[in-house]
Amino acid sequence: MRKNNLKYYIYALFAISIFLDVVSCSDRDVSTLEKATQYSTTAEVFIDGFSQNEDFNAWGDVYNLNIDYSTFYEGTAAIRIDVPNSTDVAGTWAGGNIYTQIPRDLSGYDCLTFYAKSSVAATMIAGFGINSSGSDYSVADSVSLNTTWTKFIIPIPVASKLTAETGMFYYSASPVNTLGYSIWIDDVKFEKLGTLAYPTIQNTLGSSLFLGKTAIGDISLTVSLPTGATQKITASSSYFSFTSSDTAVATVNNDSINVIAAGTSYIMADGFDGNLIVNSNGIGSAPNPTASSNDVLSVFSDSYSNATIYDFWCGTTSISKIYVGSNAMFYFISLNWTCMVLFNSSTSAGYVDASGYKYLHADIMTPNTVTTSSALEFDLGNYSTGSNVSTPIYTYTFSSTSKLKWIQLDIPISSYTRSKLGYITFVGTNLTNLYVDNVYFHN
Amino acid sequence: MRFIINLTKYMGLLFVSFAYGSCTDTTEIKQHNWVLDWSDEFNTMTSDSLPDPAKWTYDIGNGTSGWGNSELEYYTKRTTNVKLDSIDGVKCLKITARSETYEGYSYTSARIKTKGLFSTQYGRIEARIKQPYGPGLWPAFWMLGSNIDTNVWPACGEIDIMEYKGQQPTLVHGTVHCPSRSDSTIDVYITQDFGYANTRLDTGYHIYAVEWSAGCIDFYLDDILYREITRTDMDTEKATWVCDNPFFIILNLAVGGGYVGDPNTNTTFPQSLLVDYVRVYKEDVQ
Repeated sequence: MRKNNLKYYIYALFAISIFLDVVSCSDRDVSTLEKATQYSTTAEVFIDGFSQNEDFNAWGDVYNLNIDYSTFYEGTAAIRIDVPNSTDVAGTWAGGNIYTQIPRDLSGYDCLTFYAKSSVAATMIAGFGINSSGSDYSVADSVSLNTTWTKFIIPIPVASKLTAETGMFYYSASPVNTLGYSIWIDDVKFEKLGTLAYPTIQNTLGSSLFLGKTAIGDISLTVSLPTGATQKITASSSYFSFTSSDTAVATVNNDSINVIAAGTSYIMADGFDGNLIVNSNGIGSAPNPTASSNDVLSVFSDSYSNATIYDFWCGTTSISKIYVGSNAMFYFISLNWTCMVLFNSSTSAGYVDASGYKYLHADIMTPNTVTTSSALEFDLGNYSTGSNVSTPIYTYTFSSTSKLKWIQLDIPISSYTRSKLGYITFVGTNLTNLYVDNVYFHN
Repeated sequence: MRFIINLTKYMGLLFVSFAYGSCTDTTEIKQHNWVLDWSDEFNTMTSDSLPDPAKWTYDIGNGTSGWGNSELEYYTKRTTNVKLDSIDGVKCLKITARSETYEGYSYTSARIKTKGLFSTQYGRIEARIKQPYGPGLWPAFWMLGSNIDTNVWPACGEIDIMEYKGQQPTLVHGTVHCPSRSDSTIDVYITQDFGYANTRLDTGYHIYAVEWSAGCIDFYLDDILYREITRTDMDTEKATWVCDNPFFIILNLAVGGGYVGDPNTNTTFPQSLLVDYVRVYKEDVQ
């Protein structure tokens, strides 16, 4: 059967099931029926077809999901997912979400199980709990598929949270070595195994956190299966009730940790082994700038509106953006040199005219041990007759007490040509990692 | 043969016959009057935290080729491997397997026995145990014939009241070993595994027991009789029934070996076997 026909067949199936519901209701006087106070506890998601009231959203290639009547684990049918080639114009990956129109009460189950295989060895992300109503109880599992039917178990972290869930099963898969392939999935259902044990939280926090709020993000946990294997899953932090072992160091709520002081605190979740580890050096984000916005042309700061940073050029540095609450800063890791690029190298849009300003401000902080042989040089790249000309404007020399302190620099720039700046370069000597914030021109 | 019905035991037999089909309808559920003969409740702390030396002694080391099973552990008498403890309100014996380099081996653990201190012939021998978990862990509650020094194994006989594989946390294994009739150095064993559909044995305490009488050993998990092994069964296997003699008791936690396989990345150490008590009952002879 061609794919298009199958898609319409699926929609027709839903339409027919709705039609049947309507027909069966029309004979009764619905005004005498009690309003439902409990949701259905139906466990089946896909056995030989979709369960009642289910619908499907495709992601990526919208034709990726089909029903296969000749290859299945048992019964009469399985889901077949056709992952496209990476050049496919219909979409370069396959994904989708099976959800219910009416929520289900899944609190009596402890896992979602399904059988799956694929035509070539591949990895698929699968899970449940993605729904459209706002509350997020999603769980994700990285499923290793091969050509043999295998049963997969995705534990529910805290089943009592799923009293009204619409997200039944979702998946996503990408081409392998640019090539498409097929995945078959069968017997998708929620189960109460009773043999899952030792749910344990893994620490995914970085080696140290700033003072202020850090989002918790998704929780990584492991669960012991009755097969002797340990299942790793990722779950929304909404499942968990967190406590902090040392509230003088950090406090915690559902979705963020607020670091208050230097020290270590362990974030535990009710009913789970393991914990997140909060280490704080007692250092916060950079001090808020005090210059009036009238006197400022900002490149990177949460206190001002900013010119566009189009790109970063760098040596071996890797660059990440860290958020403390809503305050962003850059983190240059293994800094030899890196440029904040202020123009679009394809279109030549951008460039910054700093000629009306006398200083370049930057807040910098290194978390590493440094000495007076460690230094940071600033260069300005100014566009002049066909190319960007780079000029060093200042070198800051660190000292043995610089570690974990924000250093605020105001670099005089009046003697430099700066009417069409293409980049600001940071060059490190005997430096490892560097935080940078509040980069702006001012008077 | 009359079929004597005791409700829980009847249900247990029914379960087993559906699952394994190995018990016959004519297996008699025996009535007993048990009287406590010997026990260690592990409730009284000792000065060195080791179990009562009037009841238990130790096997030390790795034996011959991992105690004949290619086991990986070195058994010690250190309290890091064996001690009395109170865990979650239960006073128990704690045998702990550790991943550590010791005397040239990569794991340590403990094996204690009543050899030379206590033995029993027949009776109900039971222990209340919480299992460890993870691939490569092999706890056991078992018995060997007290004449082992003159009747080298398997001629002395072996009764395994409980063996368990850490990667299959829902199953208990019960086994009887007897020597082959033609060559008493050859081991003949009859084994049965059994478990609950939806409960693991490492998440709580369960009772492992045998009820042993002349020519017959009944294996229990909690209230459920899951297998009877008899002299007739051994005759069928051309083995000599040697279980009409005194046996002593052993408790140990092995790591790796031919029976269970080696630990892997799914095994977290240390792992402990917790024993709430060991009790031996004799039939009341009135």
